[in-house]
Amino acid sequence: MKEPGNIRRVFLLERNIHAKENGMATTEDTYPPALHRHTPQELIAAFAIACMIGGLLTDIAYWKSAEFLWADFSAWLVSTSAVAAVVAILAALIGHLVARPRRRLVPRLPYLLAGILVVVLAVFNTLIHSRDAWTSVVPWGLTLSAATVFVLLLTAIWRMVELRRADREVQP
Amino acid sequence: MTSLRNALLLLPLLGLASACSDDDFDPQTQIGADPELPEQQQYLFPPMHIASVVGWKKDETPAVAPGLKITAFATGLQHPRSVYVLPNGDVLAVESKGPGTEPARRPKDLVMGWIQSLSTGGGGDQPSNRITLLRDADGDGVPEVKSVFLDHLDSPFGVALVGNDLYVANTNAIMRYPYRTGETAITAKPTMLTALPGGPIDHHWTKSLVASPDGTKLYVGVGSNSNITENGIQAEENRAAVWEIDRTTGAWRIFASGLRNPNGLSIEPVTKQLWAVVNERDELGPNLVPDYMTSVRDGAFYGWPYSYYGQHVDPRVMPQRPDLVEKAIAPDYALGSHVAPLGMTFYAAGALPEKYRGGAFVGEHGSWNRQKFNGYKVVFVPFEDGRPSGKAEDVVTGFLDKDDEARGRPVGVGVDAKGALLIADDVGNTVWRVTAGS
Repeated sequence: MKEPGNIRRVFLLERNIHAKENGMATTEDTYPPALHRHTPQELIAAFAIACMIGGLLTDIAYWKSAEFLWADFSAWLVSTSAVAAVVAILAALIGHLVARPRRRLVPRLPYLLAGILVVVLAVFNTLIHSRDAWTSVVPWGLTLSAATVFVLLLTAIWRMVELRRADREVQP
Repeated sequence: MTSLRNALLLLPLLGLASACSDDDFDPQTQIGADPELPEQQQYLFPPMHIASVVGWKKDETPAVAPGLKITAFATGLQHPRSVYVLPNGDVLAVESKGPGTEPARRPKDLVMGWIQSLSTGGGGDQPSNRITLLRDADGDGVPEVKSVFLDHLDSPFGVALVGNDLYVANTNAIMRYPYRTGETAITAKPTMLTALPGGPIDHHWTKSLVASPDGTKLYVGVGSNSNITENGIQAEENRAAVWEIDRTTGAWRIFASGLRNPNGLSIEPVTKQLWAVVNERDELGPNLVPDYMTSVRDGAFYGWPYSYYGQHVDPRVMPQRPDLVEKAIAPDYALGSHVAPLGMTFYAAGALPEKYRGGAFVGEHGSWNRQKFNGYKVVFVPFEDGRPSGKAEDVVTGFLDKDDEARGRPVGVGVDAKGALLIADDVGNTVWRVTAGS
């Protein structure tokens, strides 16, 4: 049997965590495994996350320069991120409803809460960024952008730790 | 990150209450020399409440104060925004539309443009940007002659005649035309006297115009290029100011600054001082900042964008300028928050009841930045010895119907040769004429 590559191995681990929790077959049981497919919401959410990080950077640039163009960029990035995040949620919800019960992936509570928090922050941040001039960014726009990215980072770190732990379990 | 993305599964129910209450604030406290200025309040959802347009049905008119009568002087105009009366009594109705060159720079501009398009009607796609001459030689309130006086103008607003020189303030330049008494159309080519700040943004585009009493100077109102510098301070160069232009050379200087959007430039008849009505900034609350009328003093700075009513600093402007804030003077007379005064004329004639002599009529286009409508009427401010001497009172109302839909919206005002008050109504596409009577 051929060993899977590194990136692929992460996907398999991912899949196996869900499989175990939901009492489904893991890759150890059925090999070669089903290919991991990206869902639409994953791609949209990746775009939203990029916009959130970009929005924090342009917020910082405006805070430092008071140059109005940076505030305009921020308004576009933050608003786009909020719209994309909401669309991702809708896509996920639809996917969840139409999927066959045994293939449903229900995120665990910490990720669910983190996701909800990020969307709430992004929506509020969009409203703050709809103000005119300085106070569209400083202090609350910048604060919310930083908080959004902070929650994203924490979640990502948490995930990495979890994967590594699972990695050790699967391949001692 | 897969789980995180999957975690975006549940749509959070955002119970965001819209900031829509105007509380119990009494707008009357913001009329006069010393208006109440509440705490600043910045929004999550700026209130946008614009009256939807229904127009005037046949035989409908605005309501007038006791002792006055109102009739439609001209109907079927295309977005009339100001009126000017020539020495022979001919009335010029300036039909004008914004240049529409302001780019949507932010998502907010798209949303606001869309909301505004729902409620501003008036004129449709008919040709505007022209001046129509109305002649009522027998003075019965019905013009016998209606002719296109000047056409294909560039968002015109102010008009001033000095001798045989007729000046039209387009949004981007003062143009001079030769005028002969009695003409109903001008075909001569204009000469440009002075270029004015115009597009591509041209946020406040109406250029109000008046000649100095001796006729040597012209005063022009040049509005700001933004609400509160969100298009950058560079875009505000020579704007938010009243310019003084030498009539012979076209040379200009800033006469007074810090006036966000000055309109209705008029010479007060007793003191011969220049006055203006000014639209103040939005999005600091339903009751901030009161629009005002003020004498315009040479060299004075009235605050915008850094502060309002003297030293009330606006936190949205960065970098701040404490040096300028310190110099800022408070205007003479507040008219109320978001009433949008766009026209003013002093009443020096004698045809209307005695109490109107010497005071000022102000056309209030009406609010969009607060839930409860404010303005949408013509008010009168009494004057004594060249200074406001009492509370503003309603003269012409009823531009909103009982369902708060706009039948019309008043803009520029003027006084005709018979001493009647003329009102340009850019949503009702009418020029109204107010006379004594009942």
